[in-house]
Amino acid sequence: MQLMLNNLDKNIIEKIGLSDKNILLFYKGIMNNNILSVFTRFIETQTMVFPKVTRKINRVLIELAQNISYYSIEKSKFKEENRGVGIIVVKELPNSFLLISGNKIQDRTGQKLLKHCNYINSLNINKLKEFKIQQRIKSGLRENRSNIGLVQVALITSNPIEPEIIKENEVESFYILKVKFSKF
Amino acid sequence: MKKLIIKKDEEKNYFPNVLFDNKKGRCEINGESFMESPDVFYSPLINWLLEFIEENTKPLEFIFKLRYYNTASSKFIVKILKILSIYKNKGYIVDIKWHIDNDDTDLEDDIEGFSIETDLPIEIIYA
Repeated sequence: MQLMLNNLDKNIIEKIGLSDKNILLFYKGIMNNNILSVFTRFIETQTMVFPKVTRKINRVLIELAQNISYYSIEKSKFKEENRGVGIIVVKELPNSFLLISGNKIQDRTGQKLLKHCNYINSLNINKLKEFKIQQRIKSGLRENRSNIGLVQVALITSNPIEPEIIKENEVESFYILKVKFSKF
Repeated sequence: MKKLIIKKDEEKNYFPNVLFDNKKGRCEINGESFMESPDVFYSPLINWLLEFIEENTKPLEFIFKLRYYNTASSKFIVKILKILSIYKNKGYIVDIKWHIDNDDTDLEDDIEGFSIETDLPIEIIYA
């Protein structure tokens, strides 16, 4: 793991808690569906005692990994296509599982993201459901993105989503999102 | 009009299996759907359904057995349901079923949302 962590800022390693011993999954690299397929199967084996939570983790994992693939400004070539690079971490805590995603963003989009997450956290379940439908209708069929990924994440977790922006320089920041899943 | 059959590649389990049978009036989507370009995957399904509702008057049974799907795919699920809604509003029989695990309340909520958005009843079948 040390080799993979070498190009990560110390501050990020600390915020994500990458030296913790309770990590079930750690990945840094490009996100694509083949990798995601492997992760979802792996999570099923690691959390099989909590099948309801397994489904929740995998559904959120799919959304967050695809957000990295689309929106990370750190790109790497895969089969002639530029793919977003980021981090996925899954930890097991005594009463919950914690899924963390991280990727580089333009510094100027950081505040917008925080505002969006705070708005989502301010909505109750019924308002979230309404917001999801409104946003899906708004996005139309032209794009392959629905812009409801984070709303769906909030609905699935039933806990507040925890965003954090770490400024790296004048242009770039690192965006971390933590999502908790209660075991019981 | 031909059957539409898409068999998933075991290596790519983020594409579902599809079997649309016009003779039986039965359509099924089965598996997982979290591909990156759902428009490419769902276009032939949508075109098939548009042709079906144009040419047919027979009852149509539509079965979803989707467990994981990304929110991008959910847009196309809504599109499919809206086509079924047009058929139903013409006065023809449409029967939609969604198979889910017994304790999958998240999917249950999602299906309820699809039903509200498209004004179509969706029967949930628990495993």
